[in-house]
Amino acid sequence: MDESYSYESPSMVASPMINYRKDARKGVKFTFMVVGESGTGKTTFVNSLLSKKVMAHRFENSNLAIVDTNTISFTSAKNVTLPNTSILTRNDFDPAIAHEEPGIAITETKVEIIDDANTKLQLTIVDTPGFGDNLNNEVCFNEIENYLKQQFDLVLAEETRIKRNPRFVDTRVHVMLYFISPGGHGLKELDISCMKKLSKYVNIVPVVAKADAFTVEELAHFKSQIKIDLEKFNVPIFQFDNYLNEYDEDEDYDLIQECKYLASIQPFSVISSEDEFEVVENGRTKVIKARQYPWGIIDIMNKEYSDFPVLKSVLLGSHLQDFKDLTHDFLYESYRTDRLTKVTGSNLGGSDAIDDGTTGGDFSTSIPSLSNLAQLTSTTALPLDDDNASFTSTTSSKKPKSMLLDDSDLQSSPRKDSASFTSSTSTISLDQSPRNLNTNNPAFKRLSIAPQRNQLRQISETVPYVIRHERIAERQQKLEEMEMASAKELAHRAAMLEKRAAELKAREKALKKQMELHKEEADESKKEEADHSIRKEETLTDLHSIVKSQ
Amino acid sequence: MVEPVGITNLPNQRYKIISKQGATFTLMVAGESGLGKTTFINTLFQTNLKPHLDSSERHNKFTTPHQTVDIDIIRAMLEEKNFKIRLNIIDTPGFGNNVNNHDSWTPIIDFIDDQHENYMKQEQQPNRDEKKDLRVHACLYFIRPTGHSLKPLDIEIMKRLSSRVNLIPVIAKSDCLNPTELENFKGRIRDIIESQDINIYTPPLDLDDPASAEHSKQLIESMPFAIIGSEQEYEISKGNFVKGRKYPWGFVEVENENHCDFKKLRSLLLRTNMLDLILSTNETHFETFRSLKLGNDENNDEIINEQGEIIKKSSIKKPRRFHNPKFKEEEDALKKYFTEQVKAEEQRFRQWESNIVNERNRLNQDLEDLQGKLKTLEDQVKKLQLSKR
Repeated sequence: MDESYSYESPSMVASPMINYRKDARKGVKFTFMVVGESGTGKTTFVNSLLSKKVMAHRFENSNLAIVDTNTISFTSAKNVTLPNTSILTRNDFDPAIAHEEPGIAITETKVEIIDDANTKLQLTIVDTPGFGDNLNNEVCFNEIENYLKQQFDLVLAEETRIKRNPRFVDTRVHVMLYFISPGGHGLKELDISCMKKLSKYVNIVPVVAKADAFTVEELAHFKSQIKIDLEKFNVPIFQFDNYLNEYDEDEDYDLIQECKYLASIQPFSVISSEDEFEVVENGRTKVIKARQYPWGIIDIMNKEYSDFPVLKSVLLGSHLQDFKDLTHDFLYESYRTDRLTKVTGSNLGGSDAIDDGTTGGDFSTSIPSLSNLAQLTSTTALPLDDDNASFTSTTSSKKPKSMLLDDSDLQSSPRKDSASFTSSTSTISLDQSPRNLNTNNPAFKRLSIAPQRNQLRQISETVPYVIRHERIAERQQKLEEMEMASAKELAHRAAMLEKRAAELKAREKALKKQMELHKEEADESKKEEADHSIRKEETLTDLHSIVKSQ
Repeated sequence: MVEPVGITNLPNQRYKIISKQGATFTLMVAGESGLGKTTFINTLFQTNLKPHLDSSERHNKFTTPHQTVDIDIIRAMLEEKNFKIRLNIIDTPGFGNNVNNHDSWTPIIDFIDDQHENYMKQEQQPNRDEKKDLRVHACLYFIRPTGHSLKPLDIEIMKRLSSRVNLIPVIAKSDCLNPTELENFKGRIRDIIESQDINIYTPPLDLDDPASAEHSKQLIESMPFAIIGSEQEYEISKGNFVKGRKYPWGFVEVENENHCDFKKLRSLLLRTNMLDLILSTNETHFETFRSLKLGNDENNDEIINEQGEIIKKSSIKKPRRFHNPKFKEEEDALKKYFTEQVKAEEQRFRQWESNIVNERNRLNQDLEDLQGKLKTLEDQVKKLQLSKR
């Protein structure tokens, strides 16, 4: 590793990938996500990255009419959404509710920045306020994972659709900046499990936040600790030196050095600030973004102690396209493979067989896809047969009969598959009769293509529905869970109230009893007193009488 | 001139006794890991009291699925100008490190209650000359310098701590907040403390002594203290060594009042209010615990008397929660070992038994054989005898 290599930060235009893109005029879309415990400086980082106030700080009451921040989803920590716990009201500081767990929200901010060369960059910044603030933080990364998955699902559904939506917006997150709180000891359990879980869906770039809490030696130690932790727990973060072998040693010497340098300084340690100060340097006044302390001023663009400029150029320049490509080619692709194999079962296996040219020229090889679809419909989430039927009818409205047939056949005897397929094929061939009739007779080659096409068509017809259906089912389940939780909570509260009422009643009873007791006692004592006095009188009178009689 | 009686010497006598006896002071530091608790302890007492955690051993904790909150006690004897002080430092490593931090405060709270209870039991002993006292006199709670506000976890544990010990909240690593941020942060924390009914320790205002009253007022105003810790000393001017943190952009002095509140906190903990901390622990917190404990027992008796029912209402101490999963694991392991041993033994016995049975069978067989032989021999003898005749 060449330590002496001085990193020249390219401006945003410097990346040829952006410059020569055809749709440069239309603008480059880029989505990144900032995740990390609250108070690690995510908002400040974003604001200073874009040199303008994009996101509002917590407890800051400023009207940001310029940019829109939408809240996409929100989950409260207890699954019961109380109006006052909502993190949406995070602009108001209310100490009375500070002890309540905030839950987690996912918000989206869209910004458009234009640089000197008129390149438009449409940025979408996804923020996760509330992350790490709860007592139980499992809800946090589940929520984020769901969000990321959903974006992939949307793209997948769009991809497999026959008629594509021309105005479809790709909302996949290209890179996630994970802010590590500056503890000094290394990563925490939350950091590790979160990064591990999310690395399947997004490129993760870990960032040491608030690096101004470290001295030079401490920072080096902390970085090395983080590296050890990442290695030890196999956290797959974004590697800058991963594809170096693909480059030509001589031609791309600079690029290789750059990547090596970047890999060597990872994780980036950033200091960010929104405040600007005027500094006199070499006789000239200069406006810099800095943090001012009683003991000094920190220029956030100073590469000696802040990786902020490096990260900025990596994020918005040199590696922007890399992040996008990797998201699409690798992460999304593997997700798609997973998803489709799960959805269509051995469907892909069948198509592979066709690709290999091992088809027996028979239709039946392509058919299992149908059966698998039927199978999948019977296995996806819905336990009731009635639902099943209705679902299959929605998945392919053209051939509900055959699907049903498959279904029942599958339930009775899976070995009969091929038999039932003939029936289904017949219905299909009715739909697509011209081509099928043609392809049935002639060349072997065509034969192998036709079923493939068929199959593709089937997939494209079914997969979006299945995905959507699954999503709906998931959402339904979530809603049900929430409902149950709230019902539980309500029941719990009702029970508490009843208990209290019973207690109060018991106390009242006891008090009444006591009162009665007191009364009785009082009466008795009175009576006794009366008796006593009477007796006394009696005895007295007796004595008197005795005396008298004597 | 009349010689004074000498009662004015009483304070001096007291002084002698106290300086001979020395004092005990127990300080607890709580807060999430990585906030500089260890560094602060070492800075405060200007010695290397507490070694830093070995970073290579840090990973061992991760191997267990659920990290637990430990209680570390460090005992030290400090001597300054012939006056000795027995110092107990209680650290709580691992707090707030999990994904799920529910009930992670229980070990800490239990520890404090245990000390109170221990002391109470010792007081009730007939022979109570030597009392071991580990009651926590002051608890520093370290707040992460987020610049936002307190987390629910902070509030939960501070609520619980404040009813048991003299709680002193401190903002750790305050050198990453600039003055305005720090002021806002402090204000929010104060608001939360007020509205959430957290009783933090306040030094008493002595109205007779305006100087000390002024000092206390200053202390109260600067709560929660923003602190910086450092073990390193740097030479700022010739022969003048100062503890501080050296950054590329400047030098932060620990003992500079403009940089942080370290001096104030030290004054509160050691120089002016240590006695008050110790006394208030004894008078307020220990008394509340004691009366609560004893009062509870009485109440239970009363309940039984009034209702005339013989229901023992939680008069027995509620079973302590063994939330430490390590114990559970160990228990399981022991159980497994035990059953395995038993099984092995049984197996062996069975083997023996079967061996014995086999042996017996063989012997029986032999016996039968021999008897058979005997019979044939006898028959032969008979035959021979017959033939002889």
